[in-house]
Amino acid sequence: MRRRLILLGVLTLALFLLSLALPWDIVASLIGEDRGLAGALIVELRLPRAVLALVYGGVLAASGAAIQALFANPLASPDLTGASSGAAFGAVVTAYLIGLSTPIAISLGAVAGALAALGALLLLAGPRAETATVLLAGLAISALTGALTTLALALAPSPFAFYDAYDWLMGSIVDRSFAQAAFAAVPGLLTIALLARLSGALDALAVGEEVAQSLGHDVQRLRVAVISLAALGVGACVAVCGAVGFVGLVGPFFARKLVAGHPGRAILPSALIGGALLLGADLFTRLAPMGRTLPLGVVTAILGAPFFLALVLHMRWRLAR
Amino acid sequence: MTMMLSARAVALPGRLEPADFQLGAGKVTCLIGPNGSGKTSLLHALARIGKPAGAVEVEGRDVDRLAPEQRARTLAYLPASRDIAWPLCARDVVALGAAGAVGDGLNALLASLGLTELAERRMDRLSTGERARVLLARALIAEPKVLLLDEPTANLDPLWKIRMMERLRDEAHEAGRAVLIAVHDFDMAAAYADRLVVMERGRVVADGVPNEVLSSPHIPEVFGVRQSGGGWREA
Repeated sequence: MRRRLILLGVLTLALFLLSLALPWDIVASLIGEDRGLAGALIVELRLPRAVLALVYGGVLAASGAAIQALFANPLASPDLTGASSGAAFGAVVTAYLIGLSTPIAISLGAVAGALAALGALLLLAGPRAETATVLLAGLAISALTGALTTLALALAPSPFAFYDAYDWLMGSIVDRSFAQAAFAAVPGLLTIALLARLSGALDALAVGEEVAQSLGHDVQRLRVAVISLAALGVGACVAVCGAVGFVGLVGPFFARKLVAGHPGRAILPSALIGGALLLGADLFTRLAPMGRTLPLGVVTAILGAPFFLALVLHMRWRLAR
Repeated sequence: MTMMLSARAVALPGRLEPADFQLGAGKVTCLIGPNGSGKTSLLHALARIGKPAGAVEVEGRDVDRLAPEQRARTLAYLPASRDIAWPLCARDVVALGAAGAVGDGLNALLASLGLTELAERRMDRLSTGERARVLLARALIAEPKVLLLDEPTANLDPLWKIRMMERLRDEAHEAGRAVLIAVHDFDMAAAYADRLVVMERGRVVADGVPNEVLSSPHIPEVFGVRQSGGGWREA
């Protein structure tokens, strides 16, 4: 297991370094003309972007793994539970309706939105709900927060609110400063580290609530901790990068293959896989021969939606056997 | 008799009245009572499930103060439900019960419960009785001092009922564990228990040597049945 994790770490690091270097032709031509400019391109433009991809992917997948373990449901993830759209709604209300556009205010608004969405899911679906109930509740929360986000932008005093928010809402890590990257990365890394500490309790929960309690785990407190941490990480990242889908679903699925299916133990490998996935998706947005940089959220959705459908079909086939 | 577990004023509001309770090392105690009499509640209170009142000590150490790894080596609880939330395979469910790394002991334990062939199969593809054996293996893997088992023989075929009860008796008599088993079968309790506890409406109403308890007036009063010609009839 340790060897696989190290390999995963090396792969993620390689993708991180590649995302600093590629596309190489621009760097190479700048090195020939002005080495300082080439350095600035890598350090000031590409480094914050790579850090955001690594941390945001890690947060989405680690939160996805923890939420899935909590709800005992492999289809729960930050986007499908409505946490990401709740965070986007919170950020839009804070920035465009309340008019607090400082990074800290937007981050707090997004965290509050994600927390409200996950809390509503827990109330609507219950802690150990059927897959369909969780998905339906998540769908309802996503639809509601999505509609409210559009309404908030329509009611915003600024006539350019829609235009301003469009790129961000589609999910983007382009042209973010170091300060913005830090606003997402610090709470994001904290979230991953604290969620990883809950892996033992979440594994015990896989056997059942009674067994987890008999081992001394406070299940009520565990629920509050997972939901608060997921909201913190997802909210902070959505505030800076907008909503990015499916990484929180795909990452944990592959991570559990590395840890004998244990849902709690999958949190840390999920973070590495999520980071690698988003770094890879971001590289794709830059290198795909489309004539312009593609929105990151669109790429993850195009790649992730078929995976989600395949997972649903796989579960249906398994239930039918 | 050496006390292994000592509970003081354990209670669950509305389900279990405050009671002191002890379990001796190396003894099998069976817990009987009609449906809803509080058997599961007593097991929950001793296993510290559902935030019960009171305190439980095992070998003088307060269970509430133990870390999960220490708790796993101290006390194991087998729930009445055989359902597992995640589709884990049998081997991984058992490994989850270990308080640390698992070695060859895991394979030996699986073999002793007839689970070698089923080890790689997912829990949702096993029968209820097979899942019961997997969950017992999970409870045993950390070699806890106290075993608290809620109807471990439910859903088992006659052969595995006997094998499981013999195994639990060996865990008490040979390994020195304190074993508390909630059962419905009087004859099984008489055959394997060193001590029999009768519960009714959330409290202990009889406690003693199995044959004496089973022939006492408590049984017809609590269960509405009486011994008759080697069997049981409605009182």
